[in-house]
Amino acid sequence: MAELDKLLTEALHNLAAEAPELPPLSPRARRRIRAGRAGAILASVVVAAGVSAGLVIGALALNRATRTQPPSSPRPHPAWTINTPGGVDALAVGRSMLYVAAGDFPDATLSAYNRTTGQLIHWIGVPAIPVALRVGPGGSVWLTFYPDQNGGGTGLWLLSPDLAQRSSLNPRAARSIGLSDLLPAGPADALVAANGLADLHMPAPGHHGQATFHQVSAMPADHGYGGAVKFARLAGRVAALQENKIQDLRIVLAGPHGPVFDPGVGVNINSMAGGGNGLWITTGPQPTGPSTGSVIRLNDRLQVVTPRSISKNPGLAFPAQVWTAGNTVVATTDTSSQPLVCFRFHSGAGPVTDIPARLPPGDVAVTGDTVYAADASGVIVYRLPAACR
Amino acid sequence: MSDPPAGDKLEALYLRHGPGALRLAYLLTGDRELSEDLVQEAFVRVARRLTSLRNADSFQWYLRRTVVNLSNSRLRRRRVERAHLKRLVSSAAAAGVGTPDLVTKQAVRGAIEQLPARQRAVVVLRYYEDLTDQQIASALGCPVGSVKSSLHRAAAILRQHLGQEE
Repeated sequence: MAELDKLLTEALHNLAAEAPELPPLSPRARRRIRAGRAGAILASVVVAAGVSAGLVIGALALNRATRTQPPSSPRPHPAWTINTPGGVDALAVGRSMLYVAAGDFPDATLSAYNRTTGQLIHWIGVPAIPVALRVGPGGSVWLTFYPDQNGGGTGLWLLSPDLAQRSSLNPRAARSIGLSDLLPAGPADALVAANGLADLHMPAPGHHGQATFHQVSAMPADHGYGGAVKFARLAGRVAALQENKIQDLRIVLAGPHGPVFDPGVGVNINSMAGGGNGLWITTGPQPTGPSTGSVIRLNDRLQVVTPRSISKNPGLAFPAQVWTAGNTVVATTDTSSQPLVCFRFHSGAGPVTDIPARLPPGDVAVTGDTVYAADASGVIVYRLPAACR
Repeated sequence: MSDPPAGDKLEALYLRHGPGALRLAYLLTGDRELSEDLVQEAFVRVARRLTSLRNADSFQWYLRRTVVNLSNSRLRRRRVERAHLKRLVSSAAAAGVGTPDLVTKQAVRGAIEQLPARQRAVVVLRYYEDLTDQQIASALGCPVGSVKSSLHRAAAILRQHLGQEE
């Protein structure tokens, strides 16, 4: 052990010497610091004014301070939080449950929590890290997993809503799906990318039997693209975010000769979510790319139809990921002052509204008036601002 | 003597704590460009709260914690992709050529890059930053027991990758 300690200490110090030289603090960083401090000072002044005006009791002062926030800025939902210090890998919302996948192999878990109370209902071990976690019609839970650096297996499970029962796809078939997404299509059916777009029919959770694949349509597979990093429904069709061998991404529609959305050289597609007759995507820069990223809406022919109020919105200048639920669009950003924002879209876009997240969320699930956000500390529940519903 | 202007103070803080934060980010991510971006972002996040920090000495602690959190967040986003690429990546030790020190350094780099984000952070904070279990737990926001178990698991993996017997 002592030998390993010495080896690591020496090697890490040697490696640290290879770190780049500190670049100058960028003008943009300076502006953001100044803007943030101005806001903090203003908030302090408002609180102090409230106190000096006679609101001496701490609770009242706190109440006054909270009221100084814009009306559209909600406080975190008071209900509950889940602490998972190692972070969360994936979230999904069911009718009454919140599903949380967390941990590394061999300690990866999938847990079901009561959505209202946050009470842990049941948890199971997962033999690898989760890739896709989805809730299908009828409340069944779909989970695919894949080995991480520590090992583990490849698999696909269909689970009962309480996670107590499950059926498994045989490992060979699961490997054919690999890292591709799945899109629930029925109580025991999901669309998967397996030699084109296929309907996978699983035995009901807790039942034995063979899963079956039924080919639905072709999937574009030119230029080294294949599988589907993510699926989304788009005006009755299925859109797929595809990746090629050098990690370029594009969006296609399942079926022959469909349209293709290519974000262009140096631009990455960070996420994709279906939204009625359109798709919402976020783009971001590749290391050598020109873009700072955008939130983009595509129509059912994969043409860009982003409202100007969204494309030019400073609150969405550095988007990370996007999610949708009904008319609600929720996005995370790399902006520290507004890491989580939302807006309503129904023929037009509503105002972009801040959701005061405690940390930048890595995954989000939205349903009804509630936003579940997973960050580095666990899951926290926010009430969706009225402007976004 | 009067206090330096706010801009000078900011510059002084950046020059004082930035290089260490950059080396930490580089060890955590293994990516020069990403580490530069992470440090700027971390500095912005902590500097914006500077007025609310009770003790200026805590700046370094907050900066370190923010660098670790941002690195873990970025690594988590990349983890599935890395798992996919794992089989394509031969061990750094096997690819290493040159002096024995270089081979060792590359082997350690390759082995650390195979660790999950949290284990990687624990290893870097222990063996590079020389923090105690309690300090690491504080930086990561996790129980001390988790630090110990992460360190144990990481050591086992590193030993295996580096061909060391216990």
